Amino acid sequence: MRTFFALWRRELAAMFLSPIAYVMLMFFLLVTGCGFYWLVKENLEVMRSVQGLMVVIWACMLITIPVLTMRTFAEERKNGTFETMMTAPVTDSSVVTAKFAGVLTFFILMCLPTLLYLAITRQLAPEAARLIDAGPVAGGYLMVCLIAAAFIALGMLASALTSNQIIAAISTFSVMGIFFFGGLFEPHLSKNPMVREIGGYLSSALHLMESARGVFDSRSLVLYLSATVFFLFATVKAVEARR
Amino acid sequence: MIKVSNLTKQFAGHTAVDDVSFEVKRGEIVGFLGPNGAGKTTTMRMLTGFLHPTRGTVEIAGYNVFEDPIEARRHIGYMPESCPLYTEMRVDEYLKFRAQIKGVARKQIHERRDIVKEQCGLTDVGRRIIGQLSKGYRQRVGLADSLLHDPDLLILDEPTAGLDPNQIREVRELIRQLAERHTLLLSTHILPEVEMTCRRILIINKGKIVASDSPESLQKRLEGDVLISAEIAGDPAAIEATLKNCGMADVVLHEPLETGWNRYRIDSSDPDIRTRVFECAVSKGWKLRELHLESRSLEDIFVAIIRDDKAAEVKP
Repeated sequence: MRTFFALWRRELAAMFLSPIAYVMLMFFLLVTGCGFYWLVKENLEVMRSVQGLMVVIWACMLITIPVLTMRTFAEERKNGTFETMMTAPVTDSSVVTAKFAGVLTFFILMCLPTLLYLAITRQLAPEAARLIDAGPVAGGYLMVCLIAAAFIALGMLASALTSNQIIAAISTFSVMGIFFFGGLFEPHLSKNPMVREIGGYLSSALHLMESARGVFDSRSLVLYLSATVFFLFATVKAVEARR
Repeated sequence: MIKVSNLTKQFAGHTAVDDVSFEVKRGEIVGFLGPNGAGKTTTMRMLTGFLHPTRGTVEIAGYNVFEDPIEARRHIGYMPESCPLYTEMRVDEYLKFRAQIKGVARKQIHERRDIVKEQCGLTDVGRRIIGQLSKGYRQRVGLADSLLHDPDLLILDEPTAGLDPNQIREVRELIRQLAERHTLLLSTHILPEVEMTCRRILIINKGKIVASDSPESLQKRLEGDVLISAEIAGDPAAIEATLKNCGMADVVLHEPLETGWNRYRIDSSDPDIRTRVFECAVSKGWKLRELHLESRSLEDIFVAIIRDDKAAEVKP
């Protein structure tokens, strides 16, 4: 456990020491901030804006997660530090889970300032803010974390499979794109009802909107948790296999 | 300490390490030599458990590296080739992090860190960022890292590669000090390094061990005879003929020095050749001003062994 915490701290520190993390942080806050401002301006109902905010966060994940995860293994492999790491008395699974926890922690820290948007709304428009319901907001953020966990695990798998960071990022982006655009264009996807149904199941945007409305669907919970476990397991295997 | 049996590693299309077996006893200092691409790094990576072999086993301090990797790694301090480090961290931070993941007890982390910093001459650079250090200092950080958990065995892959002569001397001195307390396996292709530090040499070529012995016995094995040099004044043809006819010298080569003097290099199977040359010079009335035994350098041995290996390959 001590090893895990040491590795986790190192991973989180590495995030904050790299300039790319700050670029992502700025990008994320700029897009979500502008997005929320526009949503509040267009919509009168504040909870619809919160649902919209969740979808904007999801859209930002499409860029931020591939960029944050691409370095996890690919960079270490390229610099050779992977060798020093893997010849220390640590297990492959503790390295993988600590790195995962490090990136997820960074992502959660990145999301925290968006809570300020709600606080600011409360300050500026007290009447509207009375409509803010803590339950659906918590549900929405929980779903954001679940989705982020699954795709961070996916991004790490891509990073473990190659020593080229760009390839890792583009592969992650492509798979996430299926979930993103598959959900977004689900009505236009195909006339086949089965394809449309699958599209609906995979639509992360839909899952987010629903949970931010206060409907928590256990199917999406199972989907993202099992995807996380599966991708982490595959990452451990990929690390082993590349030896 | 190290027991390697039938170790083989195949990469797509070629065999990097081919059925290698050897043992290293506790307290030994072994130099691992070979031309570039001979399989040194691959072998070392398998010893540390970083690479999995296609066949064969490695035991470190009684633990199988592939079945019991964590226990085995606790006994190894490893410095990979080119010494990769987290360049954005400070020296102290890095060593603390490494001590934590190596399982050094919480209370001992600072103590161990200070000890290895002292050992490796890093006391003044603890606050410096690794990326801003010179290559020599980074190499020391790598060495300090490998010593943190006080391992029985140190495996160093080309510890002096890419350093300037001054830094090489410093690192070599450091290694010599470490050798007093640890079992050491050191790979290099810089021969004087091995000559100065190692008591046993393993030579690997094309994935196979072609020699394993002390530098002295390798020297003996190769020569079986002695090489002397003598400076004698007189007619070189006559002297050469006399030396050869006496049957004491197999090969005589001479190079002219200043007027009248020649230097002769005499290769002979007679260990007493110097006395006989002297007696011969006295009886013939030659002027002799220098007579000494030349030791063959490790470089000659290395080249000869690799060459013999190639020749043996061509024959069948």
